[in-house]
Parts: sequence; structure tokens; C-alpha cells
Amino acid sequence: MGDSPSVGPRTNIVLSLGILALCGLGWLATSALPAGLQLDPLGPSYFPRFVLIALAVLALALLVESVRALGRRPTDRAVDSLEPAATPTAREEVMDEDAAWDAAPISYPRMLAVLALSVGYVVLMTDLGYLLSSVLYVVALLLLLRVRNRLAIALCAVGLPAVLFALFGWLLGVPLPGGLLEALVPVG
Amino acid sequence: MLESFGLGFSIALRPESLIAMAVGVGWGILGGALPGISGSIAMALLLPLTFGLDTSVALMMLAGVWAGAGYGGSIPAILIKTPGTASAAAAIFDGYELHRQGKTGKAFGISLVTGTIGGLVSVIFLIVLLIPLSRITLAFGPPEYFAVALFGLVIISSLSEQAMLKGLISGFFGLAIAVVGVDPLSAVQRFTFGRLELYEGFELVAVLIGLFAVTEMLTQAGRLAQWRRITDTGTSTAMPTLGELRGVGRATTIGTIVGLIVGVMPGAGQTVASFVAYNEARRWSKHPEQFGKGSLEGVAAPETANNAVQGGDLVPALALGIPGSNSAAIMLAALVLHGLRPGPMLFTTNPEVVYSLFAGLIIVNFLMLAIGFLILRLCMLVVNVPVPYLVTGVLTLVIVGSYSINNSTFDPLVAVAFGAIGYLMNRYGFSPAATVLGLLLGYLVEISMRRSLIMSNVGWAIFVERPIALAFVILSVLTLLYPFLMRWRAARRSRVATTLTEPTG
Repeated sequence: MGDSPSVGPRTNIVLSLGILALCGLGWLATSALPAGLQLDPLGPSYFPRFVLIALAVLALALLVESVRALGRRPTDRAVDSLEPAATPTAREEVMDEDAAWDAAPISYPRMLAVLALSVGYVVLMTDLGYLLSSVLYVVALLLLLRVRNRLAIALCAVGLPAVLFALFGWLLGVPLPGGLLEALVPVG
Repeated sequence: MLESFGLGFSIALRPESLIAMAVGVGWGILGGALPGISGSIAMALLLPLTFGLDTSVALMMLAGVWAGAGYGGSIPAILIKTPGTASAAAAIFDGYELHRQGKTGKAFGISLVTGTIGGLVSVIFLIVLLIPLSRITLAFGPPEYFAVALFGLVIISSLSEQAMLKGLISGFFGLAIAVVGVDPLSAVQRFTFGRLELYEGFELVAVLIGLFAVTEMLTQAGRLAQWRRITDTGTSTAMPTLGELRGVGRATTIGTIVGLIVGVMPGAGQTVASFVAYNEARRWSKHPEQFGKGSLEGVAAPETANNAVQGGDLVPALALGIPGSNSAAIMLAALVLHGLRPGPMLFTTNPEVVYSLFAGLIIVNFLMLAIGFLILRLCMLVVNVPVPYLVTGVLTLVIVGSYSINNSTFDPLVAVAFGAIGYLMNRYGFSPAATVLGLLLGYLVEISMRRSLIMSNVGWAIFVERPIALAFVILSVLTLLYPFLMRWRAARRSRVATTLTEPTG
């Protein structure tokens, strides 16, 4: 499952050009690396360059295939498609759920918001401390994901950070950031 | 020998030993299940507790942690597409799919049973074939490692049979990521942008968590459709039938062999073993097309392999005093802490320690089976959690988990970043699994290649002169050509079919 509709040749062309551009940038970066010495004949630049060349070749191949696919009729395009063929699977019993999944629209803003919240959470963790930042994160995330049950939010906001803190911070001894709480309650 | 075994078992079956082993296994399962905590970390955490214990009991307890972690990692892998340990990543492909099909119990059951079998068989090999197996360890030098790593990499080509170009691109992307860090041979910084956190390169577990768990959670959040409600709890907790167990026999055998051999090679690791086992099981399976769609064999092979590594891993440790992995190193550390010296002399100076370890290794596998079954019901409570809670729970778990790898907020950021990358990869037809393989093996491939060429003075022939290396190189070439061969054969068959069915004229 997941969001992977068939990717058309135009998209593939853009992708392959992008990869080629990145390979070029990478190559420039490797020229700053020193060459091999007698003790180490290949040097630090050999392998990265090999990988970059391989990537460039593959991207070119993708480009060529996509351009050729552009010039073909749509029916032929499906046959020569580079994408995974839609293989029938033995999952008849979950067809209903698949239908519900396909019917649900994808919300890219929500995904971006989840990403942004997660990044913010990690960044703030050092300053606010693990517990405080986790509580805020859980509340924000649940609200974003359309949970309106106040009791559930409250329970999760307190419960999740507490359990994780007990597991990782206490049981496993990971020094989680103390942040604000630590500043307020100096550990003697 | 029989006498020593009797002694070993009598020590292992004492109440305090059994309790220690049970605690170890439980701790190992927990540590393995928590993303970011690996088996060796769980063992290290328990090490101080073993100071006051008898040497044998300490070793047996640590062996229990090791075994438990091998299984524990698959729990979140199957339930929430989050690898609890790096070696459980290969179990995700079919394990998570089985869970989504409502066959959670079967996935767990197979993982447990085949893991136990793999662990037991490898222990028996360890005991019986210790000396011959140790010769394999000594036969593996940089050229052999290169060839084996190459063999692991060409698996990428068969992971993405349908969309091979993009699969290969994904794999080389993984190799490119592996380059990041301070070059070990020349101490030159490569693509680190001066960041201290990148000196060692991207943390494998953080990338794994990102590409699998975070990507999946982003996908779920994007749709906010109902989580697959498995209404019939009877189906979801159903254990595999004897018929199904027999059906995965071949995959289990392959997993055991792969795990044992890879375990014997110092530095190769459980993760490599599980991926290679997955691929080999698919290659030799009667139903290769089922892999990735909920094949029980797809769970059996990697899970067997990463438990079978345990026996192999102890070969160099016990026969030669060389720890081949972090876990083995901790076992040897425990020996040292108790005043003993690791190495072959141990057999003569302290045979009771060695043989009770052997006995303990056998017992912990059974303990793992028992404890694993006991907690299964508990684990499957996660089955019916609505999407918002699942996403929140998983994200908070993986963020703190990836933090705990290096006590740094950098790794959670890596995980989140790769979550976005993984989503884009899936969206545009690329293969995160191939990238994982590239990242996993990139370091080994490069360092072995450079070391080999230093050894041979840039004589590339070294890779084909040495028999083991040559064997793996040939295997790699064959593996690379295999999908082309299959496609060519299939295309020929369909061309014949269309000429037969096309109307004449």
C-alpha cells in the first residue's frame, strides 16, 4: 500500500535530470578530496566517484527510457512502464479496507505539518527538556490528527512521555535532556 | 566431552542460572523491541549487574539477552513497521504485510519458532564443529569480505525486479550515503560539512527507522483513513499450523546456514545475515512471487538467520578469542571482568565455564520460545489502535529511540529527514529497501576493496585468485544476471503466446 501511483515518463525525466545534476555537484565535491597515496592507492575519492558515475549512468538510462516512453501511445506505455506492474495479490479479504484507503484523500499539508512538528519537537527537546517537549508534541500531534476527545488527549499527553521516560530514561539509563524542568528542580 | 556436558548442564539447570537466563531473555526481548536499543546495548547495560554473579551464570544471562534481542527486534517490525534492531529490518517486508492481512499471529509464531530452531541448530554446530568453523574465520581476509559484501549488494537487483533501474538507483543512493563520514583509511572527511555528528557517517538504525517507520507514519497521517480493523481477533492471533511450519522448512534451513556462515565471519553481522537469508530464501523458494506480499518464508528466513548468527559469532570468540561483533565482545568482556582470559585455553583452564555456556545457549533458546509466546497476546493489543494514536505513539517512540543511539538529537533529525525521503522514494517508485542495503554494505565494500588492493599492490586479480572470494564473485555475477535471464525467458514466452493468439492477416 502507501502512496505510489504509477509514475509517468515526464516525472521520470525530471527525476533523472535531477539525479544527474546532483551527481555533477557530488563530482565537484569529490575533486576537493586528496588523491591516493602509495600506502592507499585508491584514495578517498575513488569509491565516491565510482558511485557517482554509476548513478549518472543509471539516471541517463532512466532518462532515455522515459523519453522513448513519451513517444509511444498510452497503451504501449503501460506495457513498457518502468513502474511495478499491478500484480494481483491474494488479499481479497482486505479489499474493503483498500477501497476505503484509496477513497481517503491525501493531505500533503497535514504530512508537512507532522514533519514540521517532529522537527520542532526534536529541536526544542534540548531546551525544554524531554518531558515538557514530549507533552507538547503529543498534544499538537493528536490535535493535528483530528482527535477531539479531551480525555484521550490528556491521558496520552501524560501517559506516553511518562512511559517512554520510564523505559528509556530510567530503565535503560539514557540521559534524556532535562531542560526547563531540570533548571527548576535542581537535582541535588 | 560427555562428562563436561553433564557438568555444564548441571550448572545451567540450577535455579539461579535459570532465573538469570529468564531475566536475560526478557530483558533482551524488551531491549530488542525498543527501536534504537540493540542487543549489544542491552547486554552492555546488564554487564555491571553480572559482576557479583558467578562467571557461568553471568555468561548464560548475557547469552539470554542476546537471544532475546534477536527475537525482540521483530516485534515492532511486524506490528508497526519499525525495526527494533537493525537485523529485524528484513522481517518487515513480509512480517508487516502479514500483519496488515490480519495474520499477525502467524508472523509472530513463525518468527519465534524458526528463530528458536536457528538458534538451537547453530549452537549445536558451534559445539560440534568449533575447530573446523574457526578455520573459516581465519580464511576470510579483505578480498573475501569484499566478495561477500558484493554478493550482498547484488541482492538489490533482485529486490526490485519490476522497476530495476529505480531499484538500482536507490541502491547506489544508499552507497552514496554510506560514503559520508571520516574515511577510515585516510582520515579525510567526506561530505561531513564539518559536523561532528557525521564523522561516523549516518547512523544505520536512524536511517532504518526513518525509511520504514517514519515513512509509514507519514503515509498514514496523510490519509487518516481508518486503520485496518481486524474484527476477527481469532484470525489475527491464530498461530501457524504444523503444515505452515513445514512449508517454511526450506527457508528455515537456508536461514540457519546463512546465519551460521555469516556469524563465523567477524564483522559481518546479524543484519547482513538476515538480508542475505531473505534473498536466498526467495531465490530457492517454490513461491518467490509471494515474497513481499506476506510470505511466511519471508519472515522465517531472516528471523532464523539472525538467531543462527549467535552460534557462529561465538566461534571466533571461543576458538580464537576474537570477538566478531559487539555482542560477542561483551561476552568476552564478561569473561575478562571475572578474571578469565578468552581464547582456546579456556577449554582446559575453565571447562565448566565453556560447557555451561553451551548448555545455557541451548536453554535460552527454549526460554525465548516460552517467554515469546507468553508476551505475544500483550503485543497484539497494538493491533486495533486508531491511526492518530498509532502515529503519535510510534513517532514519539522512534524519536526517543533514535535519540538513545548516541544521546544526540541529531539522530532523531536524521530519522525524520529520512522519513520524508522515504515517502518521496515510495511516491516516485524508488526502493527504500535497496537504499538500506547500500548503506549497510557500503562501508564494508569500500574498505575491503581498498584493503585488498593495498595487499595486492593494486592487483585486481586478487579477487579471483583466492577461492572463497572467487566463489562469491561468481555467485554475485549469477545473481545479477538471474533477473535478466528470467525476464528474457518470460518475454520470449509471452511473445510466443501473442503470435499464437494474434489473428492472422
